[in-house]
Amino acid sequence: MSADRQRPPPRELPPAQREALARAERLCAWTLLWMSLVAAMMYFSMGGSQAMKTALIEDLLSLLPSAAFLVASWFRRKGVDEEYLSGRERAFDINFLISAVALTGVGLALVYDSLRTLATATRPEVGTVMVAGHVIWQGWVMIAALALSAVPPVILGRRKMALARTLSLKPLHTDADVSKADWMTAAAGIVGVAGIGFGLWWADAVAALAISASILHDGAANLRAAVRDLHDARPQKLDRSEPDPLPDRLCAEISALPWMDGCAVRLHEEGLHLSGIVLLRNRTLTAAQVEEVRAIARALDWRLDRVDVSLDLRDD
Amino acid sequence: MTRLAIAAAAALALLLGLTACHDYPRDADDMTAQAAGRGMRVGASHDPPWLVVLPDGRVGGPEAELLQRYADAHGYRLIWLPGSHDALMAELERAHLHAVAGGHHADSPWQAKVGWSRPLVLRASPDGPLPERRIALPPGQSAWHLAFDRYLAGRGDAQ
Repeated sequence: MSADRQRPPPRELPPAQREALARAERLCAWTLLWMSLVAAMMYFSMGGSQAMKTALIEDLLSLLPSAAFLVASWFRRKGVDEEYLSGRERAFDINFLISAVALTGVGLALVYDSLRTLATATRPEVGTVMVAGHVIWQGWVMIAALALSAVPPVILGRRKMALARTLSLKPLHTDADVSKADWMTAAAGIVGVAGIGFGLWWADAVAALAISASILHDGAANLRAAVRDLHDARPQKLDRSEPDPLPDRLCAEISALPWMDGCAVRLHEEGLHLSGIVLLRNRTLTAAQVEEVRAIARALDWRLDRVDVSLDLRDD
Repeated sequence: MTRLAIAAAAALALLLGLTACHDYPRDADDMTAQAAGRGMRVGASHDPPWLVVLPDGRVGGPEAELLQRYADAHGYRLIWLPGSHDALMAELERAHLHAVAGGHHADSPWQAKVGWSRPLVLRASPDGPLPERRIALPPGQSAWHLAFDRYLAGRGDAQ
């Protein structure tokens, strides 16, 4: 048997998922384009508003998950080679970690800026601009820019969330969380700038602080989940609310086989798929029986495309 | 998420409705009311020929005249406070002054900390170049800032 034969082939996706992955890639490319435009617009319309500055930082940080997704997807497609003997399925796990760090960074940036503004009692400066020969308050321009900046993340975020469900892909889910953080920060920025207009210099910072709590919560949850996944911990559902039911369902279906003496499954998440081992309590195992177990797994869900089958020969 | 977005949009619409009132935007520290009640306090940093602080404490030059015209137009009593630029700007940042004229440089560390008027239309001599000169204004005083810039633009004093 040659070395090539020992190596697993690249893991294929069902057509629907392949299509969804291609759509997710296009969506991420659009995200990079739109959010760059938004960031440029924010840069030119912002005055001394802290929330506005933070919204800009956040727009720049929100490019990170989409960029990481595109890189991960490209890297994963390269598949198996001499160096990456087991393929590159984990590219998305790394993407997940990067996205979680970006989201947490957004939250921390918000907290830092707001607390500094409050502690130093800095009066945010909102000047004037000339529009068609009229001097108008810059706050109106800032509010318009913030409102406009909230539109792409709302649309992109919803689409990413839908695709994340189709693909069970957590980094995409986190990217959608980042989009949510984006439009929420824009909304907080509008409240902040409007508050400055009421003479409330702290409105800006307080609005940003209120939003940062929700963003930090999302960021920390994603970070914890990314660390879990990199440790091959027990698979979780996409929204991390509870354990993934697939391993238990697999075990139940296998246990229904007539020749089965008992089984245990130990699965973990590996990018798009679930990998791992099925341990059988039987004394002997034929190649046909192994193939039968694998067929059950493949039939159960496309994510269970490759499970190992082994004997659990402990005496107890 | 949709319901949240609708709620956010409704809250924003309400907020923008409230801001349609006539006294919007406002000052964070009532600078406009202070100028009317206790006088308009303006820091003067010697910067000939635009702003000249004479040995007897009087202040002259085209920028001083412009500020005097502004105070007269609104019935404010103008109080000149000559001093060193940094000390005046520190006072301005804390909203203790209504404006600081003279001594500003484009690369000064104060650039981002305070507000700036629209660029003035002032020449050192009738056919001299038009430099970009501005008056420094206290940060966060939106009504005061807007009123000053509107005055400049209305009289053709702004570029």
